[in-house]
Amino acid sequence: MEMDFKIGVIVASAILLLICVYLDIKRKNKHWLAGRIACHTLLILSLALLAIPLQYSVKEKQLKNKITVITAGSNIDSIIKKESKVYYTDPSLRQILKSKAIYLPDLAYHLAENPSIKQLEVYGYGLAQTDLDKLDATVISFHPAPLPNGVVSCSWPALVQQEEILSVQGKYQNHGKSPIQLKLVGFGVDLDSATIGAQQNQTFTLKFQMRQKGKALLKLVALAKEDTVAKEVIPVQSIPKTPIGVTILSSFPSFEYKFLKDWWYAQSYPVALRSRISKDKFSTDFLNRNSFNLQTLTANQLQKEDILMLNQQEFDQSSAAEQQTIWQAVAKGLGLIIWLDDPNPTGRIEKNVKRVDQLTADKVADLQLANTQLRLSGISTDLKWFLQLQKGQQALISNSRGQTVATEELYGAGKIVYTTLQNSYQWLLNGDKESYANYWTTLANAAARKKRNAIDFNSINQFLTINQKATFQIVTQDAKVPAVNYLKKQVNIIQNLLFNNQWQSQIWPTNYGWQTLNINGENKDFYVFNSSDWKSVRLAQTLKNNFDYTNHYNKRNSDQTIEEINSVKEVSKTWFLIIVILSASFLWFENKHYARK
Amino acid sequence: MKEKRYINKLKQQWITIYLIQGLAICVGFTLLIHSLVSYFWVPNMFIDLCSFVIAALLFLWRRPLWQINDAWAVRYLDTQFPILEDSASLLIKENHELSTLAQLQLEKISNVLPQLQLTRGASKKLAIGCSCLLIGIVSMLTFSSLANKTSNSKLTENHQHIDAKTETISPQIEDYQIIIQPPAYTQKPKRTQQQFSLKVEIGATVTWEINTNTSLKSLYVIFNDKEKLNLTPSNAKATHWRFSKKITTPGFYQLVIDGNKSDLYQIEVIPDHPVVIKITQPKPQTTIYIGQTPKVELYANLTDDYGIREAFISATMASGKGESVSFTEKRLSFETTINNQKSLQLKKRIDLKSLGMKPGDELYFFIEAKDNNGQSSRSDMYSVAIVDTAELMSMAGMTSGVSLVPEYFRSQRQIIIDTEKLLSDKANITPDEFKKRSNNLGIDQKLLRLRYGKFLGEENETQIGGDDEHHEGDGHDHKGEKFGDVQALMDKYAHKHDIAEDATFFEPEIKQQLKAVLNEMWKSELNLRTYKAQEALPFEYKALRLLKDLQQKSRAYVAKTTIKTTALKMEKRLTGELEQIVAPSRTAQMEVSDKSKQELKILLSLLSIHQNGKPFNGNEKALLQAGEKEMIAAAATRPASFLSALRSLRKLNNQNPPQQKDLESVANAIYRIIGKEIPKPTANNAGSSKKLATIYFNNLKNKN
Repeated sequence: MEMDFKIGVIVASAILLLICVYLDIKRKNKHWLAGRIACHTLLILSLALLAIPLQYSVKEKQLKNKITVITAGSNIDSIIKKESKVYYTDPSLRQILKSKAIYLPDLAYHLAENPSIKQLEVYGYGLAQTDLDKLDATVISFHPAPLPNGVVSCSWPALVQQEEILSVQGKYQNHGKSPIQLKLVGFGVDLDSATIGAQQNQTFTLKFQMRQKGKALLKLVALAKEDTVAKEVIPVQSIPKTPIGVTILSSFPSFEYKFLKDWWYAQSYPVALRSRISKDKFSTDFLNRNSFNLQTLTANQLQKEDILMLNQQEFDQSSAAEQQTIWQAVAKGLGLIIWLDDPNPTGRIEKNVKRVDQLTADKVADLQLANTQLRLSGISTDLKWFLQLQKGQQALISNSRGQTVATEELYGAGKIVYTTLQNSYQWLLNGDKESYANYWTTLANAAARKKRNAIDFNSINQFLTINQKATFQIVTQDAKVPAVNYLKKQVNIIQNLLFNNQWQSQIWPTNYGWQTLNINGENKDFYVFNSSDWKSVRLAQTLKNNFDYTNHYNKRNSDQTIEEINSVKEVSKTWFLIIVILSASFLWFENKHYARK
Repeated sequence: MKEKRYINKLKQQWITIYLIQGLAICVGFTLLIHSLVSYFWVPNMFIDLCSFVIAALLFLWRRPLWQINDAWAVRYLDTQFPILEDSASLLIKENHELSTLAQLQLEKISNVLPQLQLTRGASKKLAIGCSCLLIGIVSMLTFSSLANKTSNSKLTENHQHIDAKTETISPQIEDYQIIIQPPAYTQKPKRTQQQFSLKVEIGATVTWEINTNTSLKSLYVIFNDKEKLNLTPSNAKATHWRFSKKITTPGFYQLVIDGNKSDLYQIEVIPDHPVVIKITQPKPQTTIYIGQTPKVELYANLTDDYGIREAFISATMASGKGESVSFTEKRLSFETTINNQKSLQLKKRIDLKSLGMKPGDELYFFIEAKDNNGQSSRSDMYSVAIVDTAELMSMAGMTSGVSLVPEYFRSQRQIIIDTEKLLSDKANITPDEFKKRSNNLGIDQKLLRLRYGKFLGEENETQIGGDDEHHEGDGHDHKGEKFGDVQALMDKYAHKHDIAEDATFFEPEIKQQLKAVLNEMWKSELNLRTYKAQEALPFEYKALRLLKDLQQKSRAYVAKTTIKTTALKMEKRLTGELEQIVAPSRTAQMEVSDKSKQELKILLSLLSIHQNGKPFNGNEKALLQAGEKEMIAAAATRPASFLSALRSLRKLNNQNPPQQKDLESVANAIYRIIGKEIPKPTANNAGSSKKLATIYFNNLKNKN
């Protein structure tokens, strides 16, 4: 069929050419005869070549033992033009590539079949991690695509305690010409926002105080002016706060202890207060807990407490045995908070801290939390000393001049917190509950004995995706095999070779959204993303994986032999079109020129 | 010469005409552009300027004014007036250049000249200019009025838009009307509306008139989901219902027609604020010194949202000292008549003397005002004090205690006495004498100032009455200088500071006050020296008062005490019996009765989970109902922000599957009801693998 068409074209052109030449010769006027004949010949020849493509073969040098693999994000046309034989592994590219490239369902299998292939030319975002894992150290020459437009990395804690701050942090690559507004949206409210400048790769932090109890789906929305560029899901879960049990010992009754006790009581947390009212006489309070003997401290009792608070004088007054008990308990994990009173050079506590005398008399102290830089409202107090940080100490509370008011230090498995502020109750008297709560929460959180979960449950993948393998790490208290159920079916688990209380389980989620894994009767929720969620992050991750792979394996040089391949190339039709136009215009010009004469 | 002047005049006239025309055209064009721009976009000064410049350039290009010269004038005359016989050019030529014939011709035409109408066609040009200007002005006026109209109509549209919120009305209601009778104090007329959502003044009486298309069995209204109002029909067919209620609190209501609940309609209340009083003069604390007129000018601004009924000054006078202070209260009224104005500018001159105030007395006052609803409000307390001269003059402070500066102090008092004496003598003495005495007092004041200056280490004028430099022939003996005495030579030229002997040790505060004293003395001296003894008096008093304060301050008083303590018996110390002292103990359990917040938090999570359209199950519906209770309470106080959420919540309760819009609206409301939480301490998580951590920890410990 094609041959017939070619012959038809040639015959028709030949006839046309003959007629034209004949007419040229027959014309009376022999003006520019040779030129006219040449032009007619060129014109008709070019017309014929427009219909029949002109092909020629060239010899190309090519690496013999390599193949080219196209992945998403590559400039497909230019690669296909450059390379004679191109492969692809991603089935989603089938629509675009169709007949242009060859589909490899299993790259590793193909490589095993063709052991001569020693190198892969990979274009685009790169091969999937699963493919890379199977490559067996084949050298990859990676031609990466630019970072995708959008969120390229993002992370947040999956579990946050109630009323705590959730912070979503990540990086945004903005290729666009207008700035992007990133918004954390949830509960019909814009919770926080950040702006990414035009054509910039910027980090962002979005914060939100957990107000719900349980699971929630927030959204990260990227807006360019008014248009929504991206909308990603952020699943979060809140877990209840772990109560802290406190015992307060004071050498004299004071507002400081009374207010602290009441505040602790109002949180529904257990608190015991013992304050010395006379020699060996104490007034005791047991709030939210059963009463016990507080006359003397026992190691047993301290083991049950999370924090022991006492003032320096009380500590120094207690017997040596009692002091020993306290230190031992702290070494085992008890938190100790100490109010520093007047210096007692002979006392044990005095040796741990170094005081700096307050020289300028501040009537009002402006304190701030060292870890969050949160400023507390000013309280009227006469701080006589500040603390100079010793080796192994960390500042917790400081004033506006950077002088330390409270410090923490490690002692064994426990923590010791020292504070010089004696009248934090002033905040409550001023009606500023928030500053008071912030102050004591900071001290208590730093000191409190750490709690352990019965079951620890973690997902290894950051973005669990539908129809992809999900691997979970489970840590239990003992080596008893936990019963794990998913969708009411038992899931098999693998025990860790080194730690007999660590386990791994794998599932293939087939639905997206919240899912539940039941471990020993305890429900653990996790979120499975749809395959379209967080695409840019996953592409950026693929890029990184491929870079890591090439960095790791390409150090070894591969032997490259060069092979000559004949490849057929086509002369572009534009050239013929130009010839047609030029010769036609010559003929037209000749006619005009002659007519004028 | 005459001809030259003639030509010049002609040129000037035409230039003026063209200038006027050009200006009129430019202004007209600018106005046109301005009106167009401000109608379609925003008025812009830059565009106005540009259009003016463009118009001006165009005009100058078309008619170059600088080309109106002699040649032009000649051409003009020749073309316009045939009578000149094309000889106008002779007018600009010098006489000696002209031939005899030309001179004759010149004479001929110069006789014709004055009769000519010089500015022929000028009126037409001016008319063109004026018409341009007119077009500009007319366009300006029409477009601005158009703009006003459209903005007004936009406003009204908006207003109607707000009012005409989509209200779903039960199908049984054929027609309804709501009559709002605002309370009397607002002085607003009765109004009716065709809308169930209400926004009424507090205390307004609202009457609903509802006509139904069928006779109803029952119709009642529920306010805030609590208060139920059963209605009785006003006609026998039970199709006309009428009821009224006085609205005092915000909230919402719904109609229940034959058992079917209608939509929720909000009731917003416009509160009546009390009168706002702002006193612009005097300052909160005023002191009147001797010599100043004992009068206070009081200026105040009063504003209220509906009207002020009355306003007055409540003044309290405190006189006497110590325990014998007596108070007298007075009510002063303003001269202005107060008759329900919305804002008032009040003025009052309080004459302290006529109130019977004496030196040393104090006046406290505030303004009290009542609005026409009977709500009263008052301003801050202001006080005016008259300085007591008698106390200043008393020697009480000096006779006892350590006086730092007694001799100088007396002088200041003396100056005051002398000044007062001078003033009382003024009528009897000659002006020259007055001036002389005033000047002398000024000198005294200066001396005093210099003496005090010493305490501050002031230099230069250290020698009282003396000069800083020695003069030739000043009577001093300069022979004392010894040749070769380096010290003496240096003293002569050196400017010595910091002589230890002269150093004064004062607290910075005292120095500050001393400076203030000197300042007052300066002013007093200035006035005395310029013969204004009367004006000098207040400064003198002030200086005296400050000195007295200073003197009081530098005294330290320690009362004598006689305490007899019994000798301590060291052996009995700390041996008290403590058996009687009991050890108090208390136990308590915190009971959190209000679990609503916890329920709301769970509900918030629930709403987030159900965004995928999953219907609520029975337990979850119970939670929704618990949330509804909270929402009703919130909507009752702030219907504008919570009523729509309450509607959505009810929809969620009834509809399956839940709508995204309702979920978000309810979640938003609950999120706001929960509000920001105060932090609470919590134990950190140490992970579950107790074993590994313990082994690691123990290993570390052993290594140490």
